[in-house]
Amino acid sequence: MKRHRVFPNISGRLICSLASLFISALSAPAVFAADCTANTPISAHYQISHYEHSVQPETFSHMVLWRRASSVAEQYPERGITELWERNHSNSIKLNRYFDAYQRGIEYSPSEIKVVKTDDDWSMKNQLIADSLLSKMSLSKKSGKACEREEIYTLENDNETITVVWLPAYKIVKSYKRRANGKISHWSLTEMSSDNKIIDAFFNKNLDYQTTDYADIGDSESDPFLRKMINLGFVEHGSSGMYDAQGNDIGGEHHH
Amino acid sequence: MKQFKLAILASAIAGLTACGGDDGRNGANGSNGADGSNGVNSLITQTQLAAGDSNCPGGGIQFDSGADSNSNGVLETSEITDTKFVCEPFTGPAETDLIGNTRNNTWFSDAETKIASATAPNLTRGAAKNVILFVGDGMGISTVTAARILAGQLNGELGEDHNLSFDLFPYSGLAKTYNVDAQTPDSAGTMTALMSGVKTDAGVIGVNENIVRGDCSTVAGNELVTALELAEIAGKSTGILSTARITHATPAATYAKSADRDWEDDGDMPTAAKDAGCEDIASQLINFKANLEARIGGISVDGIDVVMGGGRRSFLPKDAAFNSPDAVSSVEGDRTDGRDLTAEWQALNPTGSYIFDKAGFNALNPQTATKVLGLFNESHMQYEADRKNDVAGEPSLRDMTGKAIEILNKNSEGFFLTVEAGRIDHAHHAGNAYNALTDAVELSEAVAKAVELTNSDETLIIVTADHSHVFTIAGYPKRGNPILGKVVDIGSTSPSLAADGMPYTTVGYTNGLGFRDLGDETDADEGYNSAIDAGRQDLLLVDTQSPGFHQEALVPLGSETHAGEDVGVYAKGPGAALVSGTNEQNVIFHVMNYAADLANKANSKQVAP
Repeated sequence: MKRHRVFPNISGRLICSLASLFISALSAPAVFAADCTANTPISAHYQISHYEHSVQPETFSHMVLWRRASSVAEQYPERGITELWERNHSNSIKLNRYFDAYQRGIEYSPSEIKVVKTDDDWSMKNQLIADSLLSKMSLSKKSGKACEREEIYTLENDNETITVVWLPAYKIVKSYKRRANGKISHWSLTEMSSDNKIIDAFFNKNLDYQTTDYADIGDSESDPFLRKMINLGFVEHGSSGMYDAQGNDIGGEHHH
Repeated sequence: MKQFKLAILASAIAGLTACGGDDGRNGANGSNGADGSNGVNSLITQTQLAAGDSNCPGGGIQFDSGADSNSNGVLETSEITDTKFVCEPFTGPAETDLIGNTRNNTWFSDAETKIASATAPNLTRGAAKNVILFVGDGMGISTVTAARILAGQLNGELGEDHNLSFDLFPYSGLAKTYNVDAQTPDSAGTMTALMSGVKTDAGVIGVNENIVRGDCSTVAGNELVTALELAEIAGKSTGILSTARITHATPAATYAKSADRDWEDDGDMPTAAKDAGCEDIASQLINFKANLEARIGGISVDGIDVVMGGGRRSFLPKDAAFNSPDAVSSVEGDRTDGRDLTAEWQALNPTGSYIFDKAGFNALNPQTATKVLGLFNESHMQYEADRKNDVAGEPSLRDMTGKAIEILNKNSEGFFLTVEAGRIDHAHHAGNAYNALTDAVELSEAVAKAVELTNSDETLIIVTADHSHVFTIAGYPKRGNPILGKVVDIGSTSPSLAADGMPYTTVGYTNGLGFRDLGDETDADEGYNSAIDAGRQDLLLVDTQSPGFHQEALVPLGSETHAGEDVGVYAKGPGAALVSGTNEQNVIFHVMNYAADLANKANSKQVAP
């Protein structure tokens, strides 16, 4: 079995729904694969909501985390953009940014990526939460064993409260919730799969897009695609991972 | 090879001589004398000659004969006393003027006429044995001036009176850079003008203005012959160096013919172009010898001798199994046709050296190396200031220049070398003067290395740019004011304030991304990672001399642009006196052609009918 029903109480669809507050979802039984490791190729679908305290979320966005070997991709379906991060043997990290509507991409060399350079930065990409942030948090609850193990971490200070439901076997976030300044950001895992065919097909589709080097943009302004991307501001490579209510990256130690 | 042996037997003969008087009875026979030594075999060797042989152009048989003096059964070279040829009938190709078609192009003929009518003293056609063309990509006049000041200030001088290496060249002039279809040019069109003597459209490589960019079918018949190709045909050694991808527009214009500068590998090309038979730029580099010999009849070349730069990805299959040890992508190669061009190059040059890192470069022995392909980065090589951060290490431009000259200089016929500082342009596009200027200073060091290693009596060195950038030196800063600093007026010690009450920098850009303060970041491209921030900023507390400072820009654009004003041309050596006044950019080709008599020497190398 390649796809894992994280929340099998939603019958007929291999989907885990955490549309409601994540705490309630945690009570649901989960079924995991026997081959769960941090290296297991994975696709993890997240629903993202930002809303005022005490107000139910009205809008959602989505992100799919795709992970295999030394590559991790963050797909933003509503924007038609995928960021593919690759870490090579020398631990240099490279970013390709793909635009589905144009079937084109922009390549950023390791030296062009200031925000992702260290192991901790990579953990933020690979897990959506940096090891450094997780290590600061307190383990408040744990349940299940092996692949089914879940751990709840919390961090509270004067400015914010963060709660993370962590799947240590997969090293992936099941739920992330941050309350700060009366606003809530909530990421919840809705579907997870380790189907290699689907995962490889996704990576290969993007890798087959025609790409332009970041450094070559200046010599390519006659290219309609690049001109449009520049005008839309898409060539600015955005940070990713967990965001606060202002859209700032808060997944790791490196805030820019 | 067949051998025919003719045996000659020798014998000893003994006799007696009689005295006077009656003949006595014959005495008893004397004893046999000693056997004489054996004679030697005479050998004839027969060798089949292929078409193209210098003695039998149509092929034939060569007969070598002589005595096998050491009796080893083999006719050795020292034993050959006679050689005869039996040749097949041969009718050679008609001798053609290699650039005959191009002479009808008015860009070419006008420039050729200008050079022919030059009255500068001490000009002798063909006096230059070697030619080196340095191109600072995007190195406009203001960049040269600012780089000169920066170099001086880094030496502890005031800076303004400092000289870059080529500032001291005895001859200089200006070049008009526009493309046939563009007021402000791009590198493809301008480098084609420099290398082929013909101005052409923006975005196309090694073809004239009759091309339609991106239309493969318009390439045939519009190809131009480059100075590097003429030098190759003339028997000179040739080399191309660049800190950009070696398939990028500027280096590509020395060897490739392409309807689009972006067709760097087959993965970059539209299917229609590939189906129509157009060849990607990387493949053209590897197939340079075969393509040139196929395009121009009656010539024989040995290929480009030294190629070093970035751009490895266009030479490798899109397959992780072909990744280089210092690959930064999970799949380094971009080729979709499965070809490994580095392996193809090695097969074509079995004794050649393919290198990909600093260690490989350092291990090259220029005294023994003959063919070198160095691809030091997946894409462009690093900015000089950022070179220390490369995964496997890269040589500097001056190091590449020095080693290339030492390798090429072994040819008694001379050499032709093109050197591009390709990332001055990229740093300007990113709005980062620090990297643009430090790369320009490195170009100056590479030129100095070339001057040091060559004889100025036989080597023409030209330094120029393909185009300029909208980079300005402004305000009224006092002498010695840091060129990357804020304007400080004469007699003052604090920054001058503009009408908006804020300080301003001496150097800046007319357009582009504008201000960003990235501190000690030495990668200019990092500047693309922030939103456009054109216009004025409060720089009071900003260190504008730091590597990561990006200057203010007036017009907000996603990338700073080229500029359309003339660029400088600096020359030294035989023929350098032709560089003076204001010239069309394509005249530079004709200066090189005159100085080394490239076209005539190449024509003379064609096989005669």
